[in-house]
Amino acid sequence: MNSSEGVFFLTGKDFKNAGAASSNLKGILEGMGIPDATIRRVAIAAFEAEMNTIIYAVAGMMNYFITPEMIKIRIQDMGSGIPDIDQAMKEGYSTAPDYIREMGFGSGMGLPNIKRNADTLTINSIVGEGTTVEFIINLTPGD
Amino acid sequence: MPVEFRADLHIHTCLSPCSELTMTPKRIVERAASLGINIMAVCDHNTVEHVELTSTIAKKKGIRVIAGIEINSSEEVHILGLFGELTDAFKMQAIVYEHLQPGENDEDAFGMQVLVNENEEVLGFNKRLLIGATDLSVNRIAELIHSFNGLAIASHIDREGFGIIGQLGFIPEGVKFDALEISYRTSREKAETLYGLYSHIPWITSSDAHRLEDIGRKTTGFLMGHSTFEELRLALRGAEGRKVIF
Amino acid sequence: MKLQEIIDSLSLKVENPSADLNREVKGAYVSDMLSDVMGNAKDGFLWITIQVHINTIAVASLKNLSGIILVNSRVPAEDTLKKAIEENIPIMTTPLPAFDLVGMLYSLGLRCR
Repeated sequence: MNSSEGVFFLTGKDFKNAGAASSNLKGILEGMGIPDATIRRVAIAAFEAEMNTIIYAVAGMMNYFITPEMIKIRIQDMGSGIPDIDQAMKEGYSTAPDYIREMGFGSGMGLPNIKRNADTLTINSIVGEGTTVEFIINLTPGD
Repeated sequence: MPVEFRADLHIHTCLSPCSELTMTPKRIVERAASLGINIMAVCDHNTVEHVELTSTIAKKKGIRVIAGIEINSSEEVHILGLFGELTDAFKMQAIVYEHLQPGENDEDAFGMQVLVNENEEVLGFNKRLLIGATDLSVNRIAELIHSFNGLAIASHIDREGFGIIGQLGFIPEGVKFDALEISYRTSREKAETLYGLYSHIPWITSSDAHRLEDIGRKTTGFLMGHSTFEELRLALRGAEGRKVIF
Repeated sequence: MKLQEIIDSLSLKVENPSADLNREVKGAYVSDMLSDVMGNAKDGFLWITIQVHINTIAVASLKNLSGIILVNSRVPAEDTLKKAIEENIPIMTTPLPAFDLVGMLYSLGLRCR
C-alpha cells in the first residue's frame, strides 16, 4: 500500500458543505483498499472533527496522512478555543447555540465519538487562538 | 501532547522587488494551502505592508500567518524578524523605514514593489528602496526585534550573498539569534558538516520563496500544541515538550 | 580608456564576450557592499568585487557601470551570467586579489573620483 497525504479546508458555518471533507476522505480510503470497518471509524471521527470546526470555528484545515501503518488526521482551526477540555470530553456536554441544535447538531457527542473510534486522540487548545485535534487510527499489517 | 505542524517561515510577496508579480497574498495563500502548510511567515524586504492582508486571507483556510520582515543590515546581512503581534511588526517597520538607505526604487533595475488588495488589484507601488541596506548593524537589528517581542533569525546562512557567514565570515557571539535558517540550497547533513560549530542555536529551513512554485520547497516541522507564535517560540527553545523537527 | 585595452593589459578573462567591450571606462570603484556602490560608484566606472550574486547586475545597470571585475578567481553564478548577458554588462574575472588588481588599474591611470 502506498502512502498518501493531502488537505481539506473547512469553512465555519458552511452547513451546506458540512461533511464534504470526511466524505472525500472516505472515498480516498476506499480507493486504497483499506478495510471497511477501519474506513467507518475514520469517517465517523473525521466527520465529528469536521463538524466541530464548522459549528464553532471561523475556518480550519484538515491535514490527512495515510501510511501503511496508520491513518493520521489533524485539524487545526481558527476558533475561540476550548476553555476546559475535560469538560468538553463529557458525553452530552455541549456549548452549541440553539440554532445549531435545531439543525440536529451540537448533541455533545462529538469529541467522545472521536475518542471511541480512534486509537489515539490529542486535543490542544488555546483560548482566543483555536483548537488542534489530531487522531490516529492504526492499520494492522495486511490492510 | 504536542503534534507536528508544517511551517514555511520565509515567503516573499510581490511587494519585494525581486519577487514575481504573481506572488500576491491571495495566490501565495492558495499555493501554501494546496501543500498543506499550516503556518506561513510573510517576510518581504524591509517592509510588512502585505502581512495583514495575507493573514486575513489565510485565516479562511485555517492557515496561521506570522508577521515577518527580512531586514537588510548595514553589513548587508539579511535577518528575519518574526512577530506575534501585527502592531509590533509595524513598529519594527517604522524603524527600518527610518534607517533605510535613501533613494527611490528603480523598477527597471530591481523590479516592481506592488501593493495589492484581496482581489489582486494594484493599490500602489512602494517607492522606497526596499532592496537597499539599513544603517542598522546586525547586533542592533537583533536587539530591536527582541525589544518588540519578536524572534530574530539569521537568513539563509548557507548563502554567500547576504548571508551572515558570507558577509562577515562568522556569526558574532554577542548576537542572540533565536534560530539560523539553512536555505533550500543545503541539506541538513551538508549543513552539519559546514556549520556544526553553530549547532547550539536552533536551525530551521524554509523556501525563501520569490516565485509561487518555490513555496513549500522546504518546510520545517514544529512539534507543538497549536499553530501560534508563542508555541513557535517554545518550540525553538525546545521548551515544554515542544521542538523543531528539521 | 577603452575597456578592451584594460582587458588586454591585465589579461582579464571575459565571461560574456558578446557584451560591448568597446565602451569607455571613466574610472573604477572597489567595494563588496552593494549599498556602498549604489551610493558612490559613478557612471561608466568599472566595479571590482568578490560578489558573484545576481543582484550585482541590477546595481551595475542602475549606475550604468562599464563592467564588473571579479577577483580571486571568483566566477559569476549561473543566473548572474545570464542576467549580465541580457543587460549587456561585461563580467571579467582575474586570479589576482583586489589589492593587486586595483593597484594595476590605478597605474593605468584610472581613478575613483
